[in-house]
Amino acid sequence: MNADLRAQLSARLRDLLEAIDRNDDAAVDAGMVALVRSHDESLFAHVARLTRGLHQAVVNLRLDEQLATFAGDEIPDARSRLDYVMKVTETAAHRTLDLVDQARTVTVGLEQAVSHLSEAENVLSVAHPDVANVGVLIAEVGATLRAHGAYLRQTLSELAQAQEYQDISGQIIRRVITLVRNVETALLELLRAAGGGLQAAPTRPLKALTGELPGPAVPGSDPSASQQDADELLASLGF
Amino acid sequence: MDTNMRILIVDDFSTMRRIVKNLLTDLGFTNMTEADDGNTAWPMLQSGNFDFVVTDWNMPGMTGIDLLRNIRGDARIAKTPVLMVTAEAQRDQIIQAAQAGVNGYIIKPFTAQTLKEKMDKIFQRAAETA
Repeated sequence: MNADLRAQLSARLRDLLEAIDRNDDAAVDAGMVALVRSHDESLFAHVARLTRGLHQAVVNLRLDEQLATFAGDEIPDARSRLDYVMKVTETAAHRTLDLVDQARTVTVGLEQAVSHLSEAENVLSVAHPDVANVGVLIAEVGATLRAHGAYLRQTLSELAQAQEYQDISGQIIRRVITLVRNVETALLELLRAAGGGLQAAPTRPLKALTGELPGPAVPGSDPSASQQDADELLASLGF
Repeated sequence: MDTNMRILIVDDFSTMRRIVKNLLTDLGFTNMTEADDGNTAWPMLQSGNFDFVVTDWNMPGMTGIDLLRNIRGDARIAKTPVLMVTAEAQRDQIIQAAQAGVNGYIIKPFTAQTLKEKMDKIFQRAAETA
């Protein structure tokens, strides 16, 4: 507090004390109002000084241009790139699942071929017991085909299952898109406050996230439950 | 388990719905329907005679936990078993789901084996209490 302010405050307080001593209610009220107003005025003056300082700093550093580029171009660009990543991974996952479905029909064909071989073996053993060794060969081929078919079916299931990544990574990317959007809005607000040229936020629509859920676990972030932890927790709750 | 039972798969990611459907097909199930969030699932459940629900948690519109609460709050379908398949892996979420009356909880990413185990357990319990 500077000397002028101190002297002013001291004089006001003295006037107020005198008014109290002589029971002058009107003067006490007026004195109180004047005190509060002087406090508010000094607060406003302080905020105004800070705002001017911030504005000047933004102008001096040519930050407004940089921020305008970030908020106006680069951040919306980053968001659309993230949107694109989501679309591309989704398309790729569906393409993989389509191919898995097609390949599954091949395993059905293999199983049918195996059962035909088995029938052929039966017919042969009855009609031509003299070529039993051919029957043995057919049975061996059938067993090999059956094993390959089972392996192929299992691998295709695992391949389909591996596409889960698209859901998990998609959920994480959605969260990053929301964060980027919030930064963009905050920057535009700052620019507006500092008298920058940008007036309107870009209007690219984004899907809003619902609720305040923590979302998929990311390695190195908050500790989260594994399936085993979840099972134990549910068991402790009587499940 | 009756492999003809009607199963509703609720997830906003079409890839995940397809994967769950594939896994259930591998387990022998033949009667599956999909919905992309709770709001879509709710009218289907009201009119569809579903025997089992597999739902995600975090979805736009109606979330999985709200769908679960709505199911438990509607006398006609309150007993339908609900399996939550979700990336939400925090303790609080699991407890919240348990309190809302979930029958099983699977954390993504998961394996076919886990899905089979949880379904076996749910139907074994249902048979015991029947």
